[in-house]
Amino acid sequence: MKSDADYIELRCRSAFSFLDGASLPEDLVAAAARQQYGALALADRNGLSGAPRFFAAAKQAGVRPIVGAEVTLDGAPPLLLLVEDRAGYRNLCRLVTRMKEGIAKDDVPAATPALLAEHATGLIALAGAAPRADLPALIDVFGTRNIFLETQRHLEAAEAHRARAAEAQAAAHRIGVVATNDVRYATPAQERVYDVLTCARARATVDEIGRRLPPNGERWLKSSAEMAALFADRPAALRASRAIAERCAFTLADLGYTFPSYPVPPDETQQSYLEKMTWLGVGRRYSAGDPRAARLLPQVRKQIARELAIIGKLDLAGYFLVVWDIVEYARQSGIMIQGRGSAANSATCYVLGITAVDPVAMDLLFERFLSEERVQSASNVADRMPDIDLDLPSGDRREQVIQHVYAKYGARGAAMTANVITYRPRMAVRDTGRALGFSEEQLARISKHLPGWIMDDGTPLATFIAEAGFPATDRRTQLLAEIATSLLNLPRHLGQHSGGMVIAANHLDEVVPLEPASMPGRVIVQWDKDDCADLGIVKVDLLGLGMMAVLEEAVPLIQRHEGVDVDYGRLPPDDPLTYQMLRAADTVGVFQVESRAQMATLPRMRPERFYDLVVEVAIIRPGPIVGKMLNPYLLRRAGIEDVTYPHPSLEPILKRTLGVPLFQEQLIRIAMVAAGFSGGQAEELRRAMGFKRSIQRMNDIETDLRAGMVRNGIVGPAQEEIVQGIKSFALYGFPESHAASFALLAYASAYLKAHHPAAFACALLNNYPMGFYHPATLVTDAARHGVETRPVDVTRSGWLCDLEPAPGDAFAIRLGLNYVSGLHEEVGRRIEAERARHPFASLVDFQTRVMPGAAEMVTLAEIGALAALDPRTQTRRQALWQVEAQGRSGALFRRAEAVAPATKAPLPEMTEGEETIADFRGTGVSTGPHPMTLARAELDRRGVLRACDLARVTDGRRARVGGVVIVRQRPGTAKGFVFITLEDETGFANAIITPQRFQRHRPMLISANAMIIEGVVQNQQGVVSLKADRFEVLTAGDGAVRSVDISHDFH
Amino acid sequence: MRLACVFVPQLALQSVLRREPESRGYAIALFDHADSSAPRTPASPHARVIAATEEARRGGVRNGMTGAQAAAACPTLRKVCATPADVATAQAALGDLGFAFAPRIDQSGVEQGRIFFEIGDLERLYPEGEAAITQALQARAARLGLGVRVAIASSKGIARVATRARELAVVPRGGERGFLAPLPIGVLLDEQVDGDKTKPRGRGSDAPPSDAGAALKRWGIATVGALAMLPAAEVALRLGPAGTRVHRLATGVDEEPFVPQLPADALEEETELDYAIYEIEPLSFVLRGLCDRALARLACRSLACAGITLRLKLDPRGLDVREILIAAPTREPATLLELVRLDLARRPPDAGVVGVALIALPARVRSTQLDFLRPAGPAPDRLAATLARLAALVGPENVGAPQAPNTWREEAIAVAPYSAAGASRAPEPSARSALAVRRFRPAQEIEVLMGRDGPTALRGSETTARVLIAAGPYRIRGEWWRPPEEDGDFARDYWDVHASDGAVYRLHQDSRSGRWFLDGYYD
Repeated sequence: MKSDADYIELRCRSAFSFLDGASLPEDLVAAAARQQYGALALADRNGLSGAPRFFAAAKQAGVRPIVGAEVTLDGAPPLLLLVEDRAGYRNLCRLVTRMKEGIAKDDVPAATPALLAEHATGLIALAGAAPRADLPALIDVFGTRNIFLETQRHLEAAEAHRARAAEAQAAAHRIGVVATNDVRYATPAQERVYDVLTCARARATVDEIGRRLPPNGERWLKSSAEMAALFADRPAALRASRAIAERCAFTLADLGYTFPSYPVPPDETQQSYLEKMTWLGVGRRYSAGDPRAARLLPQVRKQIARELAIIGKLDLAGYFLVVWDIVEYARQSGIMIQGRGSAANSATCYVLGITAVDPVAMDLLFERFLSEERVQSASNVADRMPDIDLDLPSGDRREQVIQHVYAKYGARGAAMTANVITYRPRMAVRDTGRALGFSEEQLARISKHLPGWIMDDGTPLATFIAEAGFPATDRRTQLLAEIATSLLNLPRHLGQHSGGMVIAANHLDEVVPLEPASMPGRVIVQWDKDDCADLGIVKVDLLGLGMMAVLEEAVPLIQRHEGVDVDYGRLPPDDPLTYQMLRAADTVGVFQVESRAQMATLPRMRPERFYDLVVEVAIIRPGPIVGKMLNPYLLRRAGIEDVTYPHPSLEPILKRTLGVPLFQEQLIRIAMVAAGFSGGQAEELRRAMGFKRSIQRMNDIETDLRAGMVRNGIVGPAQEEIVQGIKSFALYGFPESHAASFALLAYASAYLKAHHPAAFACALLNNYPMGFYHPATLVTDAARHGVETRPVDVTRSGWLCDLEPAPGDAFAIRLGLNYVSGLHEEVGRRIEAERARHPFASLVDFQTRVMPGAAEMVTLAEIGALAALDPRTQTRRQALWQVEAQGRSGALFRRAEAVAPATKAPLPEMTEGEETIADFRGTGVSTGPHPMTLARAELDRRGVLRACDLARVTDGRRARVGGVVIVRQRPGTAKGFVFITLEDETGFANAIITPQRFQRHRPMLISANAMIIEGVVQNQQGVVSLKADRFEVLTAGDGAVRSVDISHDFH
Repeated sequence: MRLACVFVPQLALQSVLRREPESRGYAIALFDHADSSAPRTPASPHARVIAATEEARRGGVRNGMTGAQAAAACPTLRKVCATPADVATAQAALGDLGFAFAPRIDQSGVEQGRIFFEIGDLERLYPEGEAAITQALQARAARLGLGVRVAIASSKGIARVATRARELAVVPRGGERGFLAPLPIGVLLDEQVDGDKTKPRGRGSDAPPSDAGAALKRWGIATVGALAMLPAAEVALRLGPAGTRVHRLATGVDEEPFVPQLPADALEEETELDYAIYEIEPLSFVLRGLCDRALARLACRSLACAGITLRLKLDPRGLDVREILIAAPTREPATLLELVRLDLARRPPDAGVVGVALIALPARVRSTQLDFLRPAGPAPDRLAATLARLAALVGPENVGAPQAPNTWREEAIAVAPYSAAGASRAPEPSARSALAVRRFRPAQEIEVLMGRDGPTALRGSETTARVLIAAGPYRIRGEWWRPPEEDGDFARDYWDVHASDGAVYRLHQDSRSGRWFLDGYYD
């Protein structure tokens, strides 16, 4: 211990008490280190969420972290429990887990006396600073040696009286008294933050909350000397704190976590079995007859042998087998699965079928995934474990795999990781503003000006608040900015991570408290995935990916209708048609390369082989964009700019990417070469690029980076270029292996689009919502590729969209009943099933057998889905006329009416525009002509161009184009510029709008469904856009155009 | 029978504009929200635009927008809310308009802003024809501050539809079907031309339930004539009774009865003066007459006056509208007059008064349940007059019952409005609060000599003594969100000291200034 002072703080809450503590565990540790504490206890309310970060920070600062939690008791004041030994830790974890079992998410958990008694071993209880009625019962549970009453001095008038009474009670029961300060924040300056959090908890403003705030700000972490002065008359109480601290020897270094081993045959070890499976996999992946395999095989064998040796040395065979088992389960269940991230660097993962990228063929760096040096130099256990993320089709199929893991490892053996939701600008301003009495309207106004994420460029919150029209001179506005800034990064509540699962060999609830998740059948651990990783708990990410579902669904579709078996593992490499399509930016629906920004890059990038696609996927990311890597790369690729390197020593690293760093691996290697980073430092950099707490880490690393480069003689602009390049990656960038995994999916989806456009579009439609575009755009795009989409028809449509033969050897998409708004799935499925029994004979037959609701019938009639059912329902209005009569007459008369002669509806037939409106209202898409065709004649008269005509306009000339708005975007990397994409019957037109113009026309630009945009055409390297300066709501076209609301806004 | 229908579109908005005529010509949006218990303020997040002036609509304001959306669309927008009284007054004024032309009107009440009356007798006054009557009605309404649409037809339903179609309309006898045929179907479906779709649906509204309206749209029925062409039985089969009613109306058949009603509570008393009055005394003379007449009329129907709206017409132009609240309904002219006088004395009108309107709010006399164990309190109306008089003397913020605000600031007190009904017995003193502090207001600044463990001596205007025992400090900090000049952001260390003069004092040191204050002594 650092200091001989008698006092150690034992009652201390962090912000992980969620709205009841104002400091991060790291800040508390820093304050403790400043105050020369040798140890510090952290005891958050009903949980250990802050414990891993507390442990990590304390270890670094040389403060011994004592684990504890304050638990709510049933009908009695809460009790602070400190962990003495491993048994105590196990008990605390299980106690908290049991307390939270079976209660709703927002209910306060409470321990019953029986539960407490069951889990008291190894725990020391601090019972508060007031006499308590249940003390005798608590003494029975803990024994006089393990329970203490407290004495606290916050200079509050009522406290002295309570303390005297508590001391008297302690003396009467012969238990000890210990001094504590009930710390809620690290430094006095955080008092206001705590007050605001208290208001947020109480849902009150500062003006209303009154005495629910503490009377003063004395609950900060005071030094031993200050506490000694306060308790000068109670030296024994001070000494007791130190004595308790010394008893609490347990730390999280001693978690007792073990990873489950894979059940192997009796004569096998984990390693031998893995080796066996791996070599079997080599045979499968590199079959004998394949010339490419023959070429690679010697290298593959060498690589696999090397990897297996490292895996054996690091004792990771069990981990690989467990992941392999999940992959095998998915495969056997017919669920598509693919590993992503750095696992794609491993040949072992490739041959085991965990990943789909061949790292040997692609020359990927295995060390990015796993290396002996990395493990040796790793500063904590987390880095020893390789990270394997698995992509699954989103939805039920992914859930099936998750449930398999639960089933395999037991309810107490597997859990999802938590996701600690921290304060970001909007929430910070909202909570602070509400507490300070700002109206919702004012806060909404400020919110609009705030960035969603913490400002990377260091712009203070006050600037955004001032932009929203709140003068910085106003006291409350100043306070708002100041306190909201302090709230940033503090945890607010615990959510569930989207796919991270942790698995344990023994009881996971003895390692970390578990909580029920809001989704039934799921439990989550109280730690987030990084904390789990930090403490060596192995995590497998099971992530849902819409495109996987699309690819999976397309296979049987193509097989059934086209008679072609598509095997994504054996797609022809470098397929010319696919690359031609990519070069033309014809990529609506294609994974990762369909966004406006990607489409604007593809014609300049001109991808010709797979690696170009890897670069394309990686380059449109905030890291490379902010790091100004995009343009140099494209210019060099086009031969306009020479390939140069910041330093000659970096040429081998950057050669593949023309001297421009694009991947995380390259930046790590640059740091190692240019700045002489050690394995450990490089590892720290790798984590900084992957972590959400990265900006701070990145700043810490910058100093080392610069010093290292100076040592290697890299100074001036070269140094600056390298530092900026690396720092910008804190924003977000891809590792090469991850980009390659994604590029595989991009290639597969592009291949599908090029060769099986109908099946691809059909699968996309069935998996909406996903991707970038509204189904209406997907339907229009399919039409441009010669794929007809046919309307919903109850005599043909299934619940999902499907393919039908079309003239020639083409296929058309039959829109599924799932697109009919308001139609229940069970009704849709019944239509399918009844039709399969025998076809519907008439409208009455349909109604009698399917029994749809009246509203469902009306919608079906309105979208023309009943046309083929009955002569009386051939047109939409005819159908409506019949359906509405049937709707009122009830089943009794239907039979009679069925034989009645058909009366022609005295209604006008729908116009084309009306049909379009009905289609969009009833299904969200229209299978008829594009709505813009209805406005075309008028637009032609006015000289408004079609989207396809824009490419023929000379660069710099003015033009006008009209269309339905399909995308509005204001990317964080674009300095406030707004991008709007219009769609018409011929394609897309992109417009760029300056921030000033956007502000001026804001209401119209954000609300109009269709518009005419005028501006200067920019036609460069095949990328056409309009620098827009005039805007007009598009009113032509019978109202149909205006009713089409399909824009994907500001995502 | 020929009927006139007078309709005030956007009644609520118009009622606000009547109250604030100076706002005319500006972009103004009226807000309301579904939750009737929530306070009516445009700032409420649930408030939505329900009506807007033409200027605001030109600025992009639309019904259903929130306050923030509307302000974003039209930065100069003024946001207002209508009180029920505003609407009621406008409705009453509309009734007055009717009674100015006919002895009996139909103002069923379910459909605000619309009245019907027979025009049979008016033909002699307006020999030019019915169109002249509509113009006269519109002109008269404008003088009342109401913009109206007027239609004359042979039945209520047709007249109502005609007001939706035209600003001024005369539907000739027997020409109903021809008049209606070209009109858009929306006029039958209660879609008002001005976009105000907020009025309640009920008896007297011919609009079919929304599903029938939606069905007509689905069928592509664009005009009333197209609907009239459909076979009646087929429409009835599909749309039920509501559809039948609309269909009949479309064919010009309407049997909705005219239900004449008595004049509404004539609670408004108004007088025009020949010359401007600048002093309260002569004005009181006028007011007494108004009060007497209003109360006499209320008394006939066993009602009392629960509040007064006083509308003073100022010289040369302008209105001074003030509402005078009364704690309990009264029939005493003297009390009423006293309250009005006090209000005028406190806030005299800005200019000479050339006209006075007194609108008395009618209410039943409240019977008070007396406490069996307590003496009867003062008569509610007397109490109200007394409180009003006190408020006029010392300011309304200084009249009421003392309250301990919820704050750590020890000396804080607040004044809550006094209510005889709410006054209860003082709580039983608890055994634990036997010690009381007698507090100096304001706290007296003193000099204190500090030793190692606390104050050792104090000197001030009340006492000069040595400190025998000192307990403390007790630190109170808080209200950092208010500036110090508003008593906020305070930080004090309190001490309780037993002084050599025998008293136990409470004192504090202001941590920021270092100054000491004597707060009081223990009793």
